Formats: sequence, C-alpha cells, structure tokens
Amino acid sequence: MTKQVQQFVLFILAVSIVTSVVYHVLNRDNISLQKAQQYASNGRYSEAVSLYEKLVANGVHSEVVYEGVLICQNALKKPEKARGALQNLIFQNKDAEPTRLRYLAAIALGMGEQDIATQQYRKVLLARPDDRSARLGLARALARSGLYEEAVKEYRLLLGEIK
Amino acid sequence: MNCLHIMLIASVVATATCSLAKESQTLTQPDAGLPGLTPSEVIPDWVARWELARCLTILKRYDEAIADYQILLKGKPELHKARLECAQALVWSDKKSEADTLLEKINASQLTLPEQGALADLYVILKKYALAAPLYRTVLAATPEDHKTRLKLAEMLSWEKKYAESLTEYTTLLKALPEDQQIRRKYALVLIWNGQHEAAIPELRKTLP
Repeated sequence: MTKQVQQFVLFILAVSIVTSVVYHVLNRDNISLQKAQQYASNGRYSEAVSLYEKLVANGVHSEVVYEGVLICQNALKKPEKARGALQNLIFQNKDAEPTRLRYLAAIALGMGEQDIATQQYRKVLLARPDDRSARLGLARALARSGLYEEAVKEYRLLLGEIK
Repeated sequence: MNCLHIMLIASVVATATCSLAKESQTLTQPDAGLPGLTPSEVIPDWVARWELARCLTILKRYDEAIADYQILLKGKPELHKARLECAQALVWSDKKSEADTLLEKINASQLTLPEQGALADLYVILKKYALAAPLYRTVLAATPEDHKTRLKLAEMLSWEKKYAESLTEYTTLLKALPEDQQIRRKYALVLIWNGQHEAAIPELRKTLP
C-alpha cells in the first residue's frame, strides 16, 4: 500500500515536471509573447521590446509582435524603430481587410507618418469609398503633408459637396 | 509500474496538455499603448467643416474659408475659437468691419491663452487698443517670459502715446534680453518720443558697432 502511494506521488510529480518542461519547450515563443505583452501593459516598455526583439530573432514575424514593438518604441519615443515596426506591420497586412488597414493608417497618422497613412487610407477608400472615417483620415494626412488643395477636395467629398 | 511506464504516461499527458494550452492561447495585442489613434466611426460634419475652413485659410482662399466658417458657426455658435479664426480670415481679406462685428460676439474667457493673444493681435490691427491691452496683460500674467507678447504690448502702448507704461515694458524686456539691439533701438525711440533725448543717446550708442 505504502509503495503504491509512493509510486502514485512519484507519478504525479513526474507528470508535472514533464508537462512543465514540454510546455515551455513547445511554447517558448508564446510564453515570451505573453510576457512581453504583460510588460507592455505595465509600462515596462524596454523589457517588453527586448522580448519582442528576441521573438523576431527567433523567426516569429507575426503582426502581434510588430504591433507590440510599435507600441513600445512609440512609448519609448524611438520614432525610427517605431517606423521600422510600422513598415513591417503594413507589409504583414498588405492584403488585410479595410478596417484593419484603416486602423494602421490611423496609427501611421498618429506617428506623423503622413505618406504611409495616405497610402493606407487610399487603399481603404478603394475598397470602401463611403468610409467617412477613412476619408477624414486621408484629408488630415494630406493637410499634414502640406497638400492642402487635395485635402480640401477630400473634405468637400466628405461633406457631400462634390462627387 | 516502473519508471519507464511513468515517464511514458507523463509524456502523453504533457503533450495533450500543451496542445490544449496552445489552442487556447489568444495572440492578441492588449489595447493599451496607442490610445486615441483609431478614429471614431461617427464623424460629425462640423469637424470636417472646421478643418476644411482652416485648409482654405492656409491656401489664402479667404472668401471660401469665411463661407465655411459661417456655416460652421451657424450650427455651432459656441465655438469661440472658430469665430476667432473666421475673424482672422476676415481681417486678412481686408473685411475689417465684418471682423469687428464678429469679434464683438467672442467671449475671451472661453479662449486659451495663445488664442487670447491672437485675439489681442486682431484688436491691434483693428486699432482697438483698449481691448487688446488687457488680453496681452492676461497672457503676460500667466507667462511673464513671453517676450514676443511683451514687445507687442510695449509697441502698442507707445502708439497710444502711453510712453511711461511702454517704457516699463521695454525695461522688463531689456532685462531679459540685454543683447537684443532691435528692442533697444525701439526702446530708445520711445524715450525720444517721451522727450528723454539724453537717456536715448547711450541706448542708441549701445546698439552701434
């Protein structure tokens, strides 16, 4: 009886250890990603970035990772690195649906990347010409690029004053 | 049950657990980090109208800008900043009396400090110095190191022949900017207008090589 109990305890212990080891080996990237996201949520952007960069180095080129890098580099006020992440993100989403593209365009506009924002908003409007939010974003991106004549046209389209 | 059996069973359980864990993981980014960058779905016309009017002003298409500001203000009369911008467009298109009428409806207390400064600038252009002075003073009370505004006030006071007050402002300016030759020359001119020629001479000498 005692031997059986001992064996059972040993069995449970072994299962736990092996489960943990296998889980960590198989899910190394996912665990790192979760940790990075946790760091980012808690404002520990440098630590998050180093984890995200390790993931990229490991060949994880998912948009979640690039979006995380973008958020953190923005927060760390490193525009060059944020731009790099944004470009990767845009590349990853080149065939994404319009709402996602509009979201990325809005991020680009918020970062002062007018050209990228303009491109993305135009793509959205090609698919959805009645997207008022994208039209306003495009008008703003054009105005911030100093292309006021084009911006005026977009505002007039938005207001339904021209077709 | 020997050790090999235990390890075998453990591996099977572990693999099953891991695949379950992997499937349940959601690889989504937390929302925090880029607040306010996603534009809202509902875009009110007045927002677009206001931005349009600003673009037209920058393009110096003042008549169109004024027309859009008027549409905007008809629907949103509480937008004092837009009223100020419209008045600016009116002044720049040489419609000063219309600007004057519009400015009467502005509640300066609803404006930010830089906007109050801009309103004072408009009053100066319209030669309504008595209305401009308190606005400049409000700005200076909050930001005494705003030398541009102090210079505007000093110049305006001198045009009103309030030389003593103007000289006080110039003295404050020169304390902060003793190397500024242009301000010193303007100061010297006010001294001359105030009949203080002797005092003006050394000030002018300081500005010469």
